[in-house]
Amino acid sequence: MPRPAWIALVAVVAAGLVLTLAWMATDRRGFTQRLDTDTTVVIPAGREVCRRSVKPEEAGVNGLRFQIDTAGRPGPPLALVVFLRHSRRAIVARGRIRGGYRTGLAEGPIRGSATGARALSVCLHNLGRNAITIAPPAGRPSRRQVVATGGTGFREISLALVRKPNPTLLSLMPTALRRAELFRPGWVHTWAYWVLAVALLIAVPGLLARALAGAEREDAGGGA
Amino acid sequence: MSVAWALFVPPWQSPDETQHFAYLQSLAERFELPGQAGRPRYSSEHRLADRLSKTGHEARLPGAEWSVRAFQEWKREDAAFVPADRRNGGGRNPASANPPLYYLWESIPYQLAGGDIFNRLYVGRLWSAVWLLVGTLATWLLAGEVFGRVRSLQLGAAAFVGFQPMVTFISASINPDSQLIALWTLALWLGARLIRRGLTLPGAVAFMGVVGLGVLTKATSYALLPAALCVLALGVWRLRRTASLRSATALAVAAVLAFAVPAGAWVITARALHRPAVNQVLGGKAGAHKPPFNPRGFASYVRQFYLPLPGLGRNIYPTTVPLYSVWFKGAWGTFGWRQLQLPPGVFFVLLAGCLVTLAGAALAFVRHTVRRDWALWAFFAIALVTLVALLHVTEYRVVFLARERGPFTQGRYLLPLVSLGGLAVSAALSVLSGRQRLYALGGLLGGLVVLQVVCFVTLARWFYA
Repeated sequence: MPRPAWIALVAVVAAGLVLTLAWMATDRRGFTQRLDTDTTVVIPAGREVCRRSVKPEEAGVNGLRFQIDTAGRPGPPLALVVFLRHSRRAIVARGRIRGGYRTGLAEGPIRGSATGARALSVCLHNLGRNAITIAPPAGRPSRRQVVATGGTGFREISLALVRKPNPTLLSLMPTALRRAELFRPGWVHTWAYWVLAVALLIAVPGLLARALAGAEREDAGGGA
Repeated sequence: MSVAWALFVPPWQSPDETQHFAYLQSLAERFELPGQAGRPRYSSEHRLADRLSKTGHEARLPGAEWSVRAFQEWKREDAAFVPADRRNGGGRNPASANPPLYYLWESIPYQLAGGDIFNRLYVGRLWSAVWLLVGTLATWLLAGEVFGRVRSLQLGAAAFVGFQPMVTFISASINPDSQLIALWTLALWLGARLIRRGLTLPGAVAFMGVVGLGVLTKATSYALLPAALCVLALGVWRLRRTASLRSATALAVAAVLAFAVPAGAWVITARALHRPAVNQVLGGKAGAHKPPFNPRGFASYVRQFYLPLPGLGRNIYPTTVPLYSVWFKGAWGTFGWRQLQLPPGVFFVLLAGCLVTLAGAALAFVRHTVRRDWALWAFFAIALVTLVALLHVTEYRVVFLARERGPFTQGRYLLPLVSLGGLAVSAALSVLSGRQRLYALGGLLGGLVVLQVVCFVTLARWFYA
């Protein structure tokens, strides 16, 4: 007796789900996105420098990292500001790098949502009494040096967008569904997405299998 | 599945949804078409929701607003709004030249749902998704008309449309393309029916009426008119043996009127309101110096679109093959704004599947498992060629003559013809016999379910994880 056609459907769904789960289990969401330049930027005390057209490639940026030369002194505290496009009125995230670091990589967390535009601007405000130098990353020669003057200036500073820790996509799914509850009607809750997921994975294939069986029966009963 | 798409996609993150919602709000709140000079494009309520959700018309970067605090802030500020804050939009926006039919349809849930802006937006999406059911059913009927009463082939065609990711995505959005896809599919079915069964008064009026409603939904539907008129002319020609000239003429006039009444009503209304009846290609950067249409320039652009090969002269697509990157990827899985796409590996699997399907459909013609009704296939071909030509002419005018903006054409603009993809699937299945066909169909249905799952994971990854 031939096997019913819905077995092919179930087999493909099962194989596809296994592959999808494998993808989700190996897809790590932490990242470091380097935005390197060959410009060295000196930021005197009290000055601020920004970089425009920053485009994160992934969601969830929660830190900024810079290659900083403190000229042998303890590094000053730095304020970090992220805003939409070039408008300071649309700040979406803020952060801070504590003082006392040494020449090398300095990293600070940012709080907020670094998203919501076609591009962002990232600013670094020197809150201390000593100048610092934002250098290209180690191994990349500096071809140009500029000194930040005046108020906020846009310069080609080297920086890295960071997301930590490094969870898998699969482990983040409950969180993702919770996030998808925001900016929705009051009747949309996280459980609704779980119900829909079950429907997609079980009810939809079930209904398709039934339709397939029906088509099989009708075609056998006189169709072409 | 439509419910899942409607709810899971962040607000405004389907193409141009911000503008379409602004149109809807203007119509539903003020019963006025948008596009009035001096008024803000969006209402205060809309601007607040757009700004705090961080998924509005400017939002092209990955991620949505994840902060509960931002959501609470929106709730607090929104609660302070008065009804006038919903009514102070209605200014010019790119969607304002669209005809109003779809937005009138969407006004029903907008008025009934009430509540905050997200309630009205998401209920509107669910309401819009009804068109997916219409389109799927129409494809099932179309396949029945083309292949006869063969349920497995009808199921294959309908499932292809009902599960095609871009169709489900667009249908579950505030977007007139939702209605457009369904109306085009209905028109293809009704047209096929007239070719197969002969011209009748109710059939012809329904067919041309649907084409007219399509024009009242989006001006793109004018591309369906040449194919529709060919069907009508063929039907009248065939009637000469069985009916008098007078009755055939009366039937044709009634059919044309069924188209002209809705389409003409909109043209007259638009003229009376001093607004364009179709989307206009404005001056763009070229301003008043916009050069006239140049056939040689257009031919060169089309050649470069389909043959962007080095050594063939100036190339405007140096790094992509538009046939793949624009038409194929755009029609299968470019969600939201252009950046969010399915993983590259999935596109390759889909491409392989499509090539196999096309080869199977060609084989079906060779083996006569599909009837060679040339009138029918000519009808489909005219619709396809006219739509593609219209899109290319528009892109050429927008990008190269008016220099309004970057690439205009997107794969999703081909979705009104998605049912022809369903027919190709059915034709390929028809090559297989009995159990082989059913196993292949089972595999296809399973693959479509998996594709939907992959789409949701892609969305989750981009916006929420």
